[in-house]
Amino acid sequence: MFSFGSKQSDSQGASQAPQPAVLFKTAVRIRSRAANNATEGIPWIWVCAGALVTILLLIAGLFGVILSQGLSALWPHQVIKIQSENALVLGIPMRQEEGTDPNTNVKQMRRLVYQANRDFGVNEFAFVPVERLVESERPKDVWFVERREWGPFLGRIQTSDSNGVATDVDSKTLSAMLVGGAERSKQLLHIEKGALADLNATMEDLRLEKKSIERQLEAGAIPDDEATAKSSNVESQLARVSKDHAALSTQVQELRSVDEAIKITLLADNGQTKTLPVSQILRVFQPNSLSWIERLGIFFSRLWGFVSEEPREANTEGGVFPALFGTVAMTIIMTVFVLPVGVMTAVYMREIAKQGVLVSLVRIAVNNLAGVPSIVYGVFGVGFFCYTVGASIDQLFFQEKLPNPTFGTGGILWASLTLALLTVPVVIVSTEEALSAVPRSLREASYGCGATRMQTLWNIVLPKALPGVMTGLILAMARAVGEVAPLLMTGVVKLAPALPVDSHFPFVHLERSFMHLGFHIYDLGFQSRSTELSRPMVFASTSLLVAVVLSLNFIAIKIRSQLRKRFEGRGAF
Amino acid sequence: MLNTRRRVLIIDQLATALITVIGLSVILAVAGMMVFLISSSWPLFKTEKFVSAGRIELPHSSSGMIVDEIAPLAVLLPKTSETCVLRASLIQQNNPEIQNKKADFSYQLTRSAGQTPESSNPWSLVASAAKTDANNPSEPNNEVSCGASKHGNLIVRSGNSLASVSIQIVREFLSPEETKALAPESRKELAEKKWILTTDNTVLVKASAQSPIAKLDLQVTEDWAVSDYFSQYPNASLANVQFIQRPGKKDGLIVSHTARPDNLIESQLFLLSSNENNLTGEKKTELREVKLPEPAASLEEFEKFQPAWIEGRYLVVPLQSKTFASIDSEDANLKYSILSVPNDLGNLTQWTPAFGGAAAIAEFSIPLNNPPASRCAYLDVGRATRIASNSVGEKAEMGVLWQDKCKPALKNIAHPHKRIVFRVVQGSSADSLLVEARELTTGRIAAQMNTPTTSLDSLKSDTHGNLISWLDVSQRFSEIREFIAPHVEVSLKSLFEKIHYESYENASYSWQSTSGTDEFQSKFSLIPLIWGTFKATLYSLLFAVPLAIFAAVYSSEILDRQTRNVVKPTLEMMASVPSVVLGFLAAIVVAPWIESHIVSVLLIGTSMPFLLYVFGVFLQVPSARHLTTRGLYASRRLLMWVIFGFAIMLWLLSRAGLLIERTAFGGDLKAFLSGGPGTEGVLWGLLLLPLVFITLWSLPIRRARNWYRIAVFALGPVIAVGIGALISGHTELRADLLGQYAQRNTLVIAIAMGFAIIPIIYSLAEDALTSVPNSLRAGSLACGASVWQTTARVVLPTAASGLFSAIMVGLGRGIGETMIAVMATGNTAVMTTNPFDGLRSMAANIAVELPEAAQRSTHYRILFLSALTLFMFTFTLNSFAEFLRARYRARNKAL
Repeated sequence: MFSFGSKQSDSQGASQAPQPAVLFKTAVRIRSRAANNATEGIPWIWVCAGALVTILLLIAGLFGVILSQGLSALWPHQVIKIQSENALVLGIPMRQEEGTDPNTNVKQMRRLVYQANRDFGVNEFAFVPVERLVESERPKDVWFVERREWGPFLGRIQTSDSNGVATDVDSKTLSAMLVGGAERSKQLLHIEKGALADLNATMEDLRLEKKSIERQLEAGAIPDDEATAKSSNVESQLARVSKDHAALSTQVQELRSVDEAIKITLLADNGQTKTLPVSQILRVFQPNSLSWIERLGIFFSRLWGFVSEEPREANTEGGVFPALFGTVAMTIIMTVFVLPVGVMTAVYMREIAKQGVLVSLVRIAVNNLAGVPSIVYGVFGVGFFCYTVGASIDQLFFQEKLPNPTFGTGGILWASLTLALLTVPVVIVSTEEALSAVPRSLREASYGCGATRMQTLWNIVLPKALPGVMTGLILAMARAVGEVAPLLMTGVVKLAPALPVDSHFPFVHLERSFMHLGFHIYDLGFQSRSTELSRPMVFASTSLLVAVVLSLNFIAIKIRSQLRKRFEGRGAF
Repeated sequence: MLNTRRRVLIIDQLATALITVIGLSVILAVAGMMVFLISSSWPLFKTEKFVSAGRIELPHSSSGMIVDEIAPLAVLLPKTSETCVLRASLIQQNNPEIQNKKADFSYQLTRSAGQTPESSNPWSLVASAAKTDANNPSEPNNEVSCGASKHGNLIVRSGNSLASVSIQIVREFLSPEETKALAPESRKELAEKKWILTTDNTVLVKASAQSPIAKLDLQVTEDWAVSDYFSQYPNASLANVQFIQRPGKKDGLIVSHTARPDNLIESQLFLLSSNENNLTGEKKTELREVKLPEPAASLEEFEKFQPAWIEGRYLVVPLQSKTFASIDSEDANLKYSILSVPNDLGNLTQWTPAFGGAAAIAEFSIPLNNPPASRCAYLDVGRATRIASNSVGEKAEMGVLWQDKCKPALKNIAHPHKRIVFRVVQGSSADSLLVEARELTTGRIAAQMNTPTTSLDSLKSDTHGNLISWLDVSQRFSEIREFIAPHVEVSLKSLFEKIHYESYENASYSWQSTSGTDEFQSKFSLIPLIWGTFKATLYSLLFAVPLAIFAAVYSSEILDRQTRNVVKPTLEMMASVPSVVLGFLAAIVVAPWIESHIVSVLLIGTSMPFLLYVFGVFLQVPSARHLTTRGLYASRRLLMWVIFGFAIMLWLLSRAGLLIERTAFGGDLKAFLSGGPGTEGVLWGLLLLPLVFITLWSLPIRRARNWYRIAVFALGPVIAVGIGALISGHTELRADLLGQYAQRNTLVIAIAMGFAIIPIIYSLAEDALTSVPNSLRAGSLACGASVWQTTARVVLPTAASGLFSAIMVGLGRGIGETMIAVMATGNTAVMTTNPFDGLRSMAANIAVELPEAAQRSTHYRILFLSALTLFMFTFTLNSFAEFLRARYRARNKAL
C-alpha cells in the first residue's frame, strides 16, 4: 500500500534518488492525504465502488463461463496422443484440476482427457499430469467420428474389400459413402415418421372407436344390430389399415437390410475394431489437419445441428430441437392467452372501472402477484388445471382412453396456462403504465370529435400504448422462457416421444407433454448419468437459453427507451 | 347514418361488457388461486369422525370381517365352533335403495375327502341354504371345525390336522358371452351403478365405467397345514389354539394353551415356518417349539397382552411376569431377549401392539384413583428389541414415545396399517359405551362416538382401517361404522411441534415423507423446511444486501449519468437470467470451486471491504479529489482504479487463502472440519476479522493518531487470530458452530441466490435513491459537506424506507426461489446454522416431491399447505413493501 502511494509521488517528482528529507515529505503528504480522505469519506466511496465492481465482475464471470464453455462444446478441438504411465492416451484435452494420484497419493495438477470410444473397452476419461503434456504429439491422421449410438469415436476408419482385407479409407471415398448413408437414413426416417406414423395413428383411432361402440352397447345407448353394423365397419377398416401397415413395414425392412449391407470398420488405438453400417455415422473429420476455415465450418455445422436435430444418447448428444420447439410452442400458446386477457384487464382497471380504493387495492394485489413464487403457480396449475379441469374434460370427452388420462395429467396446454397466470401481472402492469402515459388531451380530442369510448380506445389510446404493451409482453415471454419450477409438475418431460405439433389431425396436440430448454438443463446438469459426459451439451443449452432470454430482454429495453423518447418529445400534449 | 350509429353504440356496449367481464374474471382468478390452495389443504385439518355405515342383521358373533371395496358386502368369520359356517350379507345402510335389498349367504367350509394331490386346493366353500338360521345350523359337519381367527384367515381342524385357510372376496370377470347373457335390465342398471344385486342373488360389480363386469365370489386357500398336529399333541384343543401370522408371509406363531394333567394351563409356543419351493410347488412346513426363560402368559392374558411380529423377524410374546420376550426367528436356536415396560408408570393392564408391532400402546392402572383411571403410553418396541438383541445382557426397557391419562379400556384394537387404536371405554352414563380413536404418533384423540349399548363384543376393524364393527350383544346385530380419517396423522402438533418418532432416541422436528415400506412412519414436520427456507434466504441476503445497496449508492450518487445508463440496464438484465441457469452453475461450477478454495473465499468475504477502505484512506487517486455528485469523468476513473485494486487484491487474497489453508489446516479445511488436523484459532480468526476491524476502527483513539490506522490493518489479523486462539480453548468451533462440509451447502446457495436477489434490491434501491429530491443534495453540498457526507447523512436517511422496502422484496424473492435451491443445496432437511451444511427449502421440497405425491394423499395436501404458506408469506411481505414504497413516494412529493 505504501509503495503504491510513494511510487506515484516518485513519478510526479521525477527520478530523484530517495533522500531522508524526501522520504519525510512523502510520509507527511501521505498522512495529510489520509486525514483528508477519511474525513471526506473517500474510503466509503471506494467500498461502494467495490460493491459495484464485485457485481459487474460476477456478471462478467457468469457470461464468460457460459459463453466459453458453450462455444467450446461445439468447437472441433485438436486431439493429443501421449504415453501415460500405464496406457496410451489419445483424446481431447479438457479442463485442468488438482487431484490426488491414486498410486502415489500425491497432489498434482492434472488435465482431463476425453478419450471417447465407449464401446472399445476404453475409459472415456483419463487424467494426464500437466507436466507431462509437453511430451504429447498431435497425430494428423486421427479421425473424429460422430455416431448415432455409443458416442463419438477417435481412431482410424477402414473399409474391407471382397476378400476381407481392410485398408484405410481416403477422405474422398469416405465422404461419398457418408452422403449415400445419409440419403438412405433420410429415406427411412421419411417413411417411419411419415406414412408409418400416420397409419399407427389411424389404427389407434379405430381401436378407440371400437371401444366406444362397445361401451355404448353395454350402456344400452344403441341397439344391438346398429352396434354390430358399426363395429363390423370399424373392423374392416382396421383390417385394411393393418394390411397397409404390414406392406409398409416390409418395405422398411428391405430398405434397412440394403442399408446395413454397406459397412465401415472403425479401428481404435488399442487395436479393437468395430464394423457398423455407414448410415450410423453422422459426421467425420480429422481434427489435427483442419485449417481455421474448416474448423469454423465444422463449428457452424455443429451449431446448426445443435438447434435442428433431435437429442441422442439420453440427451447427452445431438441437438435440442424438441426442447427448443417445446419452449417456443409453450411461449406462443401462453402469449395467445396472456396478451388479450392482460390487456383487457389493464384497460378495465385504467379506463373502465371507477378509480377508487378497491381498484387501487386490486392494483397492489396484481403488482404483488408478480412476487409470488413461481412454484406456487406450479402447485396451483397441477391441482387446478391438470387434476380438476383436465380430469373433468377426460370424463366428458375422452372416456374411451380412461383410465389413461388425456388432459387429466400434465401437458403443454396446462403448462402454458400456468405460465400465463404467472406472467399476466407483468403484462397488466406495463399496459397500465403505458395507458396512463397516453396524454389525456388525446382522449379528450377524440371524444370531442364524437368518438365513442371504444373507438377512442381502439383507434387512439391503444396504438399509442402499443410499445408499452409490447414491452410487457416481451418481458413476460422472457420470464416464461426461463421459468422451470412450475413446469416440473405441469407437463414437462425429459424426452417427449412426439412434438406437440405434427401432421396428424388435429395437428396441434395440446394435451401432449413436451420438452423445455430450461428443464433440459436441469435434467442434464442434475440428473444425468454422468455429469462429465453431459457437460458440453448442458453448457451449450445454457448458452442458447441465456441468449434467447437476454435478447428478448434487450428488445424490451430498446422498445421501452424508444417509447420514453417518444413521449418525452411530445410533452406538448 | 342512424344505422352506423346504433352499430357503433352496440359494439361499444359489447366491448365494454367483454372487457369488464374479462377484467373482473382475472381479478377473481387471482383470488380463486388462494381459495383453491386453501380448499386443497383444508381437508388436512378436518376433524375425523365416525359415520354409521350400516348394520348386518345377523346375530352372529364374529371373529373377523372381510368387506368388499365397492359393493357393501361383508363376510363374517365364525368364532370357535364345531361347524365352520361363514356368513355373508349386504350391509344394511340408511340408503333406502339398499335397504329393501336383502341377501344373506351362508357357506360351509369343507375339505374334500380322499387323497387330493398336494398342489390342488382341498378346501371349498359350499353354499348352504340361504335361509339357514344362525342359531340352528343345518347339518353339523364333523369333519372341519373352526378355531380362532384374525381378519382374513381361519384356523381349522380337520381330523388330526391343524391348518390355516385364508378367505377372500374375489372378482370373477365375466366373459363377453356371459355379459351378453345378462338380463338387459341388469346391464342397464350396471351402466349407472357400481354394483347391483341380481335376481338370482349374485352381486355384480363394475369398478369404473371402463372396467369389465365381475361377479363377487368367496375364495378359500390353504396357507399351511400340519397334518399330525393333534395326534402329536392329543391334549390340545382347537379352542385354545391361537395363530399370529407373520406380516407379509403365510406362516407365524402357534400358541397352544393346553391343560396339563395337574389341571394347570400350560402355554406352548411353536414357530411355524413354511417354505414353498418355487420350482416344484412343494410346501415344507416345520414346527419348532420356542423355549422361554419363564412360562408364557395364560390364555386370558394373551387377549390382553397381544403378541406381535417386528420387522417380520422378531416375535414379541407376553410372559407371566408382565415382561415380554423377543424371539429372533432367524436364529437357529430361537435366541430370545427380554423387554420390560417402564415400571414408573403403574401396573400394566393392557398391551396392544400397533403398526406391525414396532410400537405398542400400553395401559397402566393408576392405583388409588377414583373413578378408576389409567395412563396410556405409547412404547417403542422396535428400538428396544434392537437394543436388547445387540446388548450383552439381552435386556432392554421400552422407551415411552408419549403418555397421557386415559379411561381404562374395556376393549382395544389397533389397526395393522394405520397408526390408530380404537378403544372402547365406559361412557358418561352407565348404560352407554364410548368408542374413541386415538392417533398414535401424537397421542391425540381423533374422534369419539357414543354407542347406546351396555355390552359390546367382537370389536374388529377391516384391513383398510376404514370400518370397524362390533356385535351389539343386547340387541343382537353387528353394527358397522366407518371411520372417516383420510389425514389422521396430520395435526397442528405433528406439523409444528417436536414429536418423539418410533425408533428415534429423542423427540425431534423431522421431515421424511416417503419410504419404500408401508410400515414407515411418515414424518411431516414443516419446521425443518421453514428453517431451511429462512436459512437460505438470510445467508443470501447477508451476501446480497451490502453489495446491492452499496452498488446502488455508487451508481445513484457518484456515477455519472452516462455510465449509469449502461450499468443499470446491465444489472437489471441480470434479473432475467433464468434461475435454472444460476442453479446449474452454482452446482456444477461454483460448488466445486468453493470446495477447493474455501479459505480464500472466506478471506475474500471477510477482508475485501476493509482492504478497499484502506485503499481509499491511503491512495491519492487523482479523480477522488475531483469527485463531485454524479460528475462525469472522476467517477468513471475512480471505478477503473477500484477495478484495478480489486483485481490485485482478489489475486493476493486467493493466494493468501491457499497459503493459510496449507499452513493452518494441513492443506485441507474440509478434512479439518470433519475432525482432521488444524489450528482452530485461525478459523476463528478468519470469521472474527470483520468484527475486529470494526471494533478497532470505532475505538476513539483513531482520530488522534494516523499510525493507529496502519496498525489496525497490519495487526488486525494478528489480533483476530489471537482472540480466536483464546476462544478456541473454550468452545469447539467445529462441533458447536460449524460442522462437516457438504459440497452443496448454504455458502454456495448464498452466492447463487444472492446473485438472483442483487438486481432486484439494486434496482429498487437505486430508484429510491434517485427519487430523493435534488434540492436536498444541493442544500447539503452548499453547506460545505463532501459528496459522501451528503450521501450518508442526507440522501440515505431520506431514502431509508425505500431501501427497506427493496430489501423486503428481495427477501420475498429469496423465500420463493426454487430451482437454485433444488440444485445447489443438497436438499437435506437438517436444522443447523452451519454455513457449510446443506438445507431443504419449502419451495425446493415442493418441486422435488409434488411430481411423485399421489393425488389427494396426505403428502400431496401437505405440499399444498406449504405452497399456501409460501403464497401468503410472500404476498404479505410484498404488500407491506408496497405500502412502504407508497408512503415514501408521498413523502418525497411533499419534500
